[in-house]
Amino acid sequence: MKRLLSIIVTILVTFTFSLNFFACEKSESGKNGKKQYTINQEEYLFGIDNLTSDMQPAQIDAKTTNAWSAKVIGELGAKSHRIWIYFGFFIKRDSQNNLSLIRSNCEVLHDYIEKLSENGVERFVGMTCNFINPYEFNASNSTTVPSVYENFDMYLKFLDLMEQGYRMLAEEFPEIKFWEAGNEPDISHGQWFHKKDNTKFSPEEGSFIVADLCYRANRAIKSVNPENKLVMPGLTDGAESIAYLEKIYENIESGYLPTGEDYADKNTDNYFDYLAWHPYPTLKSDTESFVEQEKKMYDVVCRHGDEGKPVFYTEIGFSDYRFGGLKGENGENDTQERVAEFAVKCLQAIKDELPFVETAFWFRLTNISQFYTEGSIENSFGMFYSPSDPGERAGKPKPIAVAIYKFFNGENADESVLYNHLKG
Amino acid sequence: MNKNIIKKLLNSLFIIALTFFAAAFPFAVKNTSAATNKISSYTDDFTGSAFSDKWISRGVELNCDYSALSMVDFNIWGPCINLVNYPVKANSTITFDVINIGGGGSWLGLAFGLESPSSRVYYAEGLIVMSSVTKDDCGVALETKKGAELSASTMNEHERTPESVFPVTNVKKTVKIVAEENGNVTVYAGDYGGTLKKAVCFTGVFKEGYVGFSGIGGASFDITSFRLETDGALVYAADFSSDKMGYSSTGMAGCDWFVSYSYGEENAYISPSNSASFGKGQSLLFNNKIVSEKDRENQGEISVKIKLKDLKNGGYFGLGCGLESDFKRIDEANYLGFYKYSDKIRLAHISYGKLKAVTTPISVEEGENAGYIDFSVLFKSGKKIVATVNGESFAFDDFDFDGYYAFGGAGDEDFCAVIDDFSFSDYVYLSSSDADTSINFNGIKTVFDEQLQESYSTEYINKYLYYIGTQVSQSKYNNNYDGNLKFIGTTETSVFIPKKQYGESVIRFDIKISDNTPTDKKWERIGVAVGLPSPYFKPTSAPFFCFQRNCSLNDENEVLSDYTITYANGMTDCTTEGVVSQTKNCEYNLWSDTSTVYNVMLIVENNEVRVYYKTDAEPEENMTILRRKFKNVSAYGYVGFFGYNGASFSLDNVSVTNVNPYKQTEKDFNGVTIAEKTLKTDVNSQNSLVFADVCGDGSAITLSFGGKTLTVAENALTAGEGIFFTEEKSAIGLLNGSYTIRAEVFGDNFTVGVRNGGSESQLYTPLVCGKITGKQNGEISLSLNGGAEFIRADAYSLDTKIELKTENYDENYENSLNPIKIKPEKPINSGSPNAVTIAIVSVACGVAVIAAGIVIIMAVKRKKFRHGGAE
Repeated sequence: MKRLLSIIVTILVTFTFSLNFFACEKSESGKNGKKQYTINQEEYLFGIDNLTSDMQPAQIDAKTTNAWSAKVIGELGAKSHRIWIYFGFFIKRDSQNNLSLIRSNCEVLHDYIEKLSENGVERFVGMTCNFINPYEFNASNSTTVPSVYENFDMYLKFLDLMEQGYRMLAEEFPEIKFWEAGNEPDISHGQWFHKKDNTKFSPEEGSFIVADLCYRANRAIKSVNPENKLVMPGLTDGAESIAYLEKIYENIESGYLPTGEDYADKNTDNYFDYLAWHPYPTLKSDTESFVEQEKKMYDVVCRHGDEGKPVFYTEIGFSDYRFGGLKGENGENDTQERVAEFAVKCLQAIKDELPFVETAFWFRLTNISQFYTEGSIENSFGMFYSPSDPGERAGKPKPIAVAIYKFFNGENADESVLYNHLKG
Repeated sequence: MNKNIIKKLLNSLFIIALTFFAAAFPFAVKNTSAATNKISSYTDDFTGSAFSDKWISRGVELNCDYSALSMVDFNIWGPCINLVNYPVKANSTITFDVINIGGGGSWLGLAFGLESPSSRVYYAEGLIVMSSVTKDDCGVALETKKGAELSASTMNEHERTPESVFPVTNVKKTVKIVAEENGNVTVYAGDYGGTLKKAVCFTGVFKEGYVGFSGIGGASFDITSFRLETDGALVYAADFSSDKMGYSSTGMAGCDWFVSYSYGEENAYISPSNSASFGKGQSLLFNNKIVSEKDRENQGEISVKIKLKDLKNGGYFGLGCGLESDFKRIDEANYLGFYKYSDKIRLAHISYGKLKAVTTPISVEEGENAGYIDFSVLFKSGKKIVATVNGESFAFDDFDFDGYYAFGGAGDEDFCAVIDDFSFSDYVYLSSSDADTSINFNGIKTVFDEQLQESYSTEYINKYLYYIGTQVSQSKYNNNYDGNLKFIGTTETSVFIPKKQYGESVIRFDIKISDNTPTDKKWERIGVAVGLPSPYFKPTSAPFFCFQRNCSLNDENEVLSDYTITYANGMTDCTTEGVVSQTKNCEYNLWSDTSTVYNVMLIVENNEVRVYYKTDAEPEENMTILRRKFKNVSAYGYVGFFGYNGASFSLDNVSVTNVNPYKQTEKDFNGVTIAEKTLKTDVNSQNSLVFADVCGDGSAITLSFGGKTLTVAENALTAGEGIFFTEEKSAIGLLNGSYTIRAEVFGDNFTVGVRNGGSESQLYTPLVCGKITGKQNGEISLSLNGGAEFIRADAYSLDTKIELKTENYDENYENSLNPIKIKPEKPINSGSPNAVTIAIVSVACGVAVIAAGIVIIMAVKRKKFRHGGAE
C-alpha cells in the first residue's frame, strides 16, 4: 500500500511539474504576463509597400498590375509586402448587416500572393485601409466611423462588424499572418478616419477607437490562427504622432477598454503585437534627426512597458517632388541621386541604431504616371518609374531602387536584374 | 440517444433560436396587437457571375445588360462625378446614354467649366439641369455661376424648356450636348437609337474646364455610355466596362471619373448591370416558402422589374405561386402573369391550369427596346393578392399562394422576358415598451466656476436621450428661460430624434416659423417621420407627414404665389375620397408670419396616422378636427422631427406617448382610478383614450363619456341622454372570456372597440361610434356587470397640451447613462484557455499530492499503531 501510494505521489508530482513547464512554454509569457518578442531585422528588414491596379479603386496606374508588381518585387529581393486591403473590395455588407466575401476579388488577391511567393516574398502584411459600418448607420463613405461618444450604440455594432470582417479575411487569407488595423488614423486632414459629418476625430477619441479596433482585430485574427500578429495602424510619425501613440497607451491603461466587454484589459499584448509608423525623413547630410525622432517614438513604447516589441515601418520613403523633383536645384537626376544616397543612410542608421525596427516597407514600388503629370508629392514616391510612363522611362528602376538593391545585396551586386521585367 | 440529452439539445436549440430572434429584433416584441411593419428581407439586383443560393434556376441565364456609371440617390448640392483626364474645350460634343432609374422629381445635372477634376458643383461655371419630370419651369434648364460659387442663392438663370429628357424610368435615352466656339450650348435628346431632337439652346454661356454629373432629389441614373469629341475628333469614349471611379478617400490618380465630395462607393460606382433572362420552359424558383400566418393581414410582398421583350399572342409571363420545389408546371397551382391576347397585355390568374380571372387591357411597354415594368404582388390573408403594375393595382381572390414561388412563362408560345431588381418584403408585428418622451427644451446646466467662485447656467439637453442633427440647436439660455429647439436653414439631416422606438403613439409638438423670406421655387418642409429604422437615416427615408411651403416669385422678385400644403410619403391617404393624393392644401399658411405657434398632433395606431393641427390661439376643440388620415404606415421605429430644404423654425413642447396597449409596464393600471368594477380616466382631460383588459363573462358593460352613458350588451346597445350612434355592430361573442376594450372620446366623438382573443390582424372590432352632446369633460368610465373583472388598463390624454418635463442637468443621471465606464480589470492571461486549464489542473494535482502525502503518513502511523507503537 505504502509503495502504491508513493508511486501515485511520484506520478502526480511529475505530472504537476510537467504541466507547469508546458504552461510556461505555451503562454510565451515573460514577466508581468507579457509576451516575449524577437526582432528579426537581419532577415526581414527589406519590405515593399505596393498598390496594384488589379485591386485598388484608385491611386495607381493601370499597368501596375499584380503580375508586373510581383515580378519587380522579386527582382528587388524584398521578403515582405504590405498589401492595401479595401474592405469593400473583398467583403459585401447587405441591409441586414450580413457580411459575405466577394469571391472573385478574393481570388485576385490569392493570385497576387501566389505570384509574390513565387518571387520570394515570405511575409504579407494585410493593411485594412477603410471600414465596414452597420447599414443603419447610413454612412456615406467607407472611411466614416461612428463616434464612440456620440453614436455609442452604433459604435458597438461597428466594432462587432469589424471583428467579423477581420475574422473572415483571416480565414480567407491564411497566407497573411500580419494584419495592420488601419492606416494613418492620426493624419492631419482626417480624411481616412472621420466622423459621420466628415469632421476629424479628436486625438483623444481617435486613439480610443484605434485601441478598440486593435483589440477586436487581434481577437479575430487570433481566433483563426493564434500565430497571426496584429500590427497597430501605422501612425504618420509626424510631430503629433508621439502624443497620439501616448494616448493609445493611456487609453488601454485607463480601464475603459475594450468597449463592449464587462472587463478592462490593460495588457497591450491583447491589442497589438507590432507597432507601426511611417517615417518620411527630410533629406539631410546626416541621419541624426531621423534617428532622434524614431527613438522618441520608441521611448513611448518603452515607457509603457512594451520594450522589445517590434516595429514595422509600414511606410517609409521619399518623394522626388517633395525635394524639388523636376524643379530641383540641380534637376531631377540630382534629386533622385540624393534621395537614393539618403535612403541608404537611413537603412544603415536603422541597422546601427534602431534595433527595434524589424521591417521597413518602402513606399512605394512605382511612381504614378497618369493625371499628376505635372508632379505632386504623391506621384513620385516610386522606386521605379511607372510602367505607364512614356518612352524608355516606363517601368525603369530609379536610383533609389538600385541603391537599396545594392545595400541588401552588396555593392558589386548585378543591378541588371532590376531590368529583367522590361525584357518582355 | 438518451431522452434527457435530446431534451437538453432541444432546449439549447430553442434558446439559440430565441437568442437569434432577439438579436435580429433587439428591441421588438412580436405581438399580434401591435403595429405592422414592412421589412425588406431579401433583395437581389443579380450582380455577380451566378445566381445567389436563394434561387434555383431551370435554364434561366444571367445577362450583363450593360455596364454603367451609376448615381444612386443623389441628394446633396456639391458632389459631382467628374471626368478626370480630359477638360472640355469649345467646339466639343458630349454624347451620353442614360437611364432614369428612379427618384420622381429628381434631376440630372451636367456641370461644365470646373476648375479641376476634384471640383464640386459650387465651382462649376454652368450646370445643365435635366429634370426627370416635365414641368412648366424646368424640363431642361441652365444655371450659371454668379459670383464665386454656383449655389441655390447665387446663380443666373437662362432659357428653359418644360419638356423632360427622361420622363419615364427604366428607359434608355440619349443626350447630346454641343458646345460651340461662340459659347452656345445646345442640348439634344431622344430615345436611344432614335432621332435626337433639339431641346434647348443656351447662347454664349460655355466655359472651358472639366465636366461632371450631379443630381438632386434622390436622383438615380445609370449612364451607360459617354463620348467626348473635340473639333470632330474623338477625345474619350467609355462604355464603362473597364473605367475606374475614384473617391476622396482613395484619390483620383489612375481613375477616369472622380466623385468630388462626400459620396462614396454606395452612391457612385461603375459596374455591370445584370438581369435574368427567360425563354420558353425556363423558370427561376425562390428558395424560400411563403407560409401564411393567421394573425397578420399582409403576408409578404414581392417587387420586381419585368421587361417583356417578346411576348406572343396567347403567351404568359409572370409568377407561379403555391408550388412545390419540384413543380412540373409553373402554372400548376396559382399563377399570375402578363397575358397577351389580341395584341393587348392583361393580367391573368391561372388556377390549376385554367384561366380563372383576367383584367382589362393594361398599358405596358413591350418589345426589344421596351422599358421595365414595375411589378409587385402583395400577399394578403384570406388567399387574396394585390398586384400592382406601374402604380395601378388589381386585386385577385381565391389565390392560394402558400408554398414556393417562381418566375417563368406559361402557355405554349415562345417568349423572351427579363427580370431585374427583385425584392421580397416580410410583414411583422412590432410593438414597443419604450417609455414616453416629453421635453420642453427648458433644461439648463448650472456649473460652479472655481475661478470666479460663482455659478452660471447654460441651456442643456441630454445627448444620451436625444439625437440632434445638423442645423439644429437649443435656444440660448437667458434669465427667464423658455427654451426651444431652433432649426435654421435646414438640410436633409436636420432632425431631432428621441432615442426610443415606438409602434403606436401619440405625437405632439409645436412649431413656429422663424424665417419666412419668400424664395423662388423653394419647397421648404417641416414634418415628422415615423418608423425610422435608425436615428442615422434621413428622416425623409421613412414614412413622414409634413407641411410644405410652395412659393414662387416673378423676375422682379415679387411673390406670385406662397401657400402651404400638407404632404405625406410612405403612407396612403384615406381622407381624400376616391382620389389617392399625398398632397392637400393646408388650412393655414404657416409661412405667412413668424409669430404664430401651431400645435400639431399625430395619433399613430393600427397602421394608421391621424393628423390634427391648429394655431395655439385657437380653442382646444379645434384640435379635434381631423385634417388628414393615412393608412398602410409602417410605424415601428424612431420618430424624427425634421426640417428640410431651408426651412427655418422653432420646435417646442415635444411629446411622444407610447399607447401600445400591451407594453410592459410596472403598473397594471396606468392613468386610471379603479373602484371594484368601475374604472375611470383622469377627469382633467377633455379627450381620452383607454384600453382595458377584462376577464370573465359579463352580461354588459356600461361606458360613460364625459358623463353621458352607453351600455353595451351582447345583443343590445342602449344609449343614454346625449349619446347618438353613427355606426354600430353586434357584440355577440365578443364580451366573453378575455377581451380588451378600447374606448376613445375625442371632441364630440366617441368610439368603442373590442378585441377578443388573439386572432386576426384586426386590432379592435369596432362596436359603436357616435356623437356626444353636452359632454362635461373627457372622462371615460367603464362599469362591468356580472362576473367580469378588470385585469389591467392604460389611459391616455389626447389633449393638445400635456404636462411636459424640464430636464435639467443631473451629473449622476448623466453618468448612469454614459456607456463608457471604467471596468474591473481582466486577470492577466485569463484570455488563454490553455493557461487557465493548465493552472487549474496544476492546482488540482498539487492538492492531490498533498492529500496523498497525508494519506501515506496516516497509513504509516496507523500501521505503527496496529503493530504496537513507536519503534
